[in-house]
Amino acid sequence: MALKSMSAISTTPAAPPAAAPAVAPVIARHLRGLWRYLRMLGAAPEVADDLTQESFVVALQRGVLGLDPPALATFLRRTARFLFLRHLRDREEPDELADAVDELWQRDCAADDGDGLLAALRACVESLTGRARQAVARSYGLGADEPQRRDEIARELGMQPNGVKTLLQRVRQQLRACIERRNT
Amino acid sequence: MTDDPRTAARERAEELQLDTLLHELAGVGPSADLGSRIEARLLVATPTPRPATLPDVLRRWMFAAAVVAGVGVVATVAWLRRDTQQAPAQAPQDPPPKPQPAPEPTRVVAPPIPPRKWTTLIADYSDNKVIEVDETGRLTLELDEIFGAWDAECLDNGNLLITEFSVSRVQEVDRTGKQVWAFEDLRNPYDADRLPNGNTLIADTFASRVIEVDKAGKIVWSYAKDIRPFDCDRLANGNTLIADVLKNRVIEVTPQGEIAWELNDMPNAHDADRLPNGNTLVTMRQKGCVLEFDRDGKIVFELQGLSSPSDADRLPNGNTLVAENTGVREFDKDGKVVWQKAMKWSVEVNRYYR
Repeated sequence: MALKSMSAISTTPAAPPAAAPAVAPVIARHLRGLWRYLRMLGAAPEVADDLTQESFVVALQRGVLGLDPPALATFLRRTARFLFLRHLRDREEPDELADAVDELWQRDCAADDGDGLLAALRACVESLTGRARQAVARSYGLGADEPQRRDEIARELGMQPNGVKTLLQRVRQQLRACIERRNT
Repeated sequence: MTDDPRTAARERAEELQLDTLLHELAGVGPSADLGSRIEARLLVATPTPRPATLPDVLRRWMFAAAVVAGVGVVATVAWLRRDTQQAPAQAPQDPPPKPQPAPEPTRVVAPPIPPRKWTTLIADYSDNKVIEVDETGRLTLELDEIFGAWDAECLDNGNLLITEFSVSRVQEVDRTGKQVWAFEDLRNPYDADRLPNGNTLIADTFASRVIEVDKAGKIVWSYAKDIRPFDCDRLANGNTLIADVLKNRVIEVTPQGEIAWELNDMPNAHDADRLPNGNTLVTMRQKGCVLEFDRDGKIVFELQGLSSPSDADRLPNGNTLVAENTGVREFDKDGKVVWQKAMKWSVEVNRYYR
């Protein structure tokens, strides 16, 4: 334990009690897209929360919050990517994956932060029928139910757990093809 | 699957994209309060000065070069004129100029420092430090290398009682950080209080017990019946209030170890305080809320939508001071934030009035 000398301590000004009005719309404009980008990099929801926040702080500190929306969105994504890769540290080849995520983002999500892709996926899921629909709904907790484990889904659908695994792989391929068709 | 790393990365990125969107369809999104948390964080973050750009630097160099050149030209002309106009050697020389008195230094009057009203002591688990700030947010003390700081209290003698989760230690230090007392026969404790009799009450969390130790380090009281205590307080009636995460409850136990009062269905209760009105203030980290219960277990006050709160205190002015993931906030009775201090991960906060 050490006591820092008082001269070395940086002081923080008192925080005003109310939010500055100009910041809120900027946050609202970029928050979901940035959070979604972090999730696509592989961040868990709570990590995406934290890094979204930290990316905005960096933007404030660099004085770029006033940039036009596309430029600020790019800055925030670059910052979030850097923070997330630093957060990972020991994952193998994270740069290759991050590059691939960036490439996909530019192709599918850059124009609307991925809202169109999400709408396409919703329609694709609704077009599923039978076991395929049930398996994906139960696996991800679509609807009111909590996500279920593969063995629970297998029991309810009268299948082997490996069968559920294969079914889900096939459904995911169908969904991927479907959203690419709808989104082009 | 493929062996080509680029193709493999592409396939994985597509999986992540699909997973992200499927989870969003299932309702997984940013935390509901993330926008307001970011707003609050930005309000206390200070923009750093923009580094000089290349044009800035060039402009400065050009200005400096112009000044140097100008001075050089003036000096050369003056030297040449001096040569041509030099007086004969016998001519009386001008007396050396009298040294001019040094100009009076500009007196800078510092703005008056407002009188201290209170200080707030905060333990930051993520930063391994304990800080004290005054009511303006100005740092008045910073102790670092507190390993897993989970609790910090200011004692009547001005020393600090600090609970270090990571090194399983409770220690009393003076304001220079020098240790004056310690108890280390612990397993990852979360909380410690100095009692009026000079003993120390400790939530020895992963040893599943609450203990009272005297100055010599002798355990003089303990309670260890099916608990994982995150917080403990000795009440005025001699009973001990315990936040127990093992059975998701808050219990009040007598000195004989009998449960005198119990509040159930309190998942992940990190803190429980008995208020002067007899009610109990409970901080529930996972649910992101602080609730005040009356003796019958009825909720009479609540703060919802908090960011992983670990500690809450009711202040003498009726406000509630809460330590959250991103900082400390003081809420008035209507839930409005009236004071805040950004931190990395504040887990304990205490306010002391001067």
